[in-house]
Amino acid sequence: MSTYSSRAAESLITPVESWDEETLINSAQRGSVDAFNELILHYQSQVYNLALHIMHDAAAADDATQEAFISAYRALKQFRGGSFRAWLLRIVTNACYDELRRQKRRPKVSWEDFGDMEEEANPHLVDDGPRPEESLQQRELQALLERTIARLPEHHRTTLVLVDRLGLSYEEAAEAMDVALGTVKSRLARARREMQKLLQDEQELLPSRYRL
Amino acid sequence: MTQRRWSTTEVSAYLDGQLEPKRQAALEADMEHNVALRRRIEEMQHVVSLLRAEPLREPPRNYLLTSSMVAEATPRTTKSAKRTPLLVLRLATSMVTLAFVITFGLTALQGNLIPGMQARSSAAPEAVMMDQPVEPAEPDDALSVMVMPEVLTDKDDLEMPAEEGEPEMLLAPLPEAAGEEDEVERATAVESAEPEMSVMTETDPGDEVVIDDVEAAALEEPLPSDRVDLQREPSPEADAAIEDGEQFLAEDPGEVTGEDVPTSPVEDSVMVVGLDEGGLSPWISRGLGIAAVILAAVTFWLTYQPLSRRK
Repeated sequence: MSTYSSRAAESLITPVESWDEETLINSAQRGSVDAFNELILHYQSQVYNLALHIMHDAAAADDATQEAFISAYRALKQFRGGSFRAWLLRIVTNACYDELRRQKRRPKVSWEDFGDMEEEANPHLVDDGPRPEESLQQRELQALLERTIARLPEHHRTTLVLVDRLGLSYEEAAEAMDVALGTVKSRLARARREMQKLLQDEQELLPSRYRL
Repeated sequence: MTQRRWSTTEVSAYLDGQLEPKRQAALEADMEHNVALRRRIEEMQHVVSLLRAEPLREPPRNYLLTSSMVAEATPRTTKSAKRTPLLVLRLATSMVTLAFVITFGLTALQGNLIPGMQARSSAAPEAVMMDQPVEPAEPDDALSVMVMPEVLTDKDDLEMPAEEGEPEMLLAPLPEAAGEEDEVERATAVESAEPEMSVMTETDPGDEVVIDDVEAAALEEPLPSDRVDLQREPSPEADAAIEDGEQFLAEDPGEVTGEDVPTSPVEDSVMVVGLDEGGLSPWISRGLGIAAVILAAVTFWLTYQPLSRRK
């Protein structure tokens, strides 16, 4: 039996049943900003992290997240059911891709600069004093993962983040990226294999318990 | 033992439980004997676990929408769509209103303030001004005296009282536009067969018109042929009009002096305003007024209708 998959899925499933998402969506569609804000509070972390992984820039991710929520509110009446999370993440994905296409016309920032900017923009990563070793390792691992994910091709990266970081199902990921289910499978498999190779190259930076 | 090759996609899908049941059973059966396959699966599972175990970053802030953000967001689509037609409508209303005011004013002027004076046309003054000599005309020349030389030669006729404080107006007859080539321009400007050509003198009240014989003789000289000839042969109609003018001037308390009366052909060629027989039709101003009211009502309704709907 698929013990790996069942355990992983259980740990990632958001307990949507604990709050009435459908009621909130209906209220928001009737113009309730408060109801929509409830939805924002629930999904803003996932939306922001997806934007951050796609954009590689905290400020750009911040802007993209806010714009995505505003766009979602405007287009809420067009939502016809299904996975609201996938619909929301699709909006932010498209917004990020559009922004990336615009940025391609401008000179790119080097990877070293990107790392510095990330640390400045995210106080969680700034080493501003002695901390417990475990916490430090945690932050280093997080930074390493983010850098490694950022080296993946664009579509592979998005698929990996949607499924393995945000916990979307294959169907939701297909809806969020507007691709076929088979495409999600193949992209995810390649992304995982590339990720595995990259992490093996950086194995000395991984904590001992995470080494491959 | 047959070792089957398993693609990365199948291995990845197996980790997520997305493999078909038959393929999944076959893979699991193969794993029991295939160490390499088992290791591949374990390594990939390690990567997946690593990715899923790491917590997501906390967003730097909340992205809650406020009423102002929603208010800005909602009309943005309708605003751009409605702005352009509304602006055009407002501009049209302003233009029509302005045209109405102008035409109404002109109509009132020609009807009340300057009795006997007909409306100007824009083309007629050019024809006359082209023929004016070098001597610059004063602004008041636009309404200054246009007196027929023949008429002015008669000293006694000019010694008439002028109304105090107001420019004098002399109704000078115009000849009928009858086929003379040198009168073509004037004939086009003056459509009426019996127009009332209004002329005004720049005379001070109390001055007397004194024209000596030399000046009178000069006045009697015919105009050059290349000029617009405002003279005409004396005719019974002209005499009647002159008499009318005399009557008009006789009502004025002031007097006209010879110095103030244009005595040369130059001064005679004072502005011939473009005259239309009927002047500006009152229907034009009425039509413009109605159009302005309708446009204003439509603009007002379109501007404030969304607000009332929101309420």
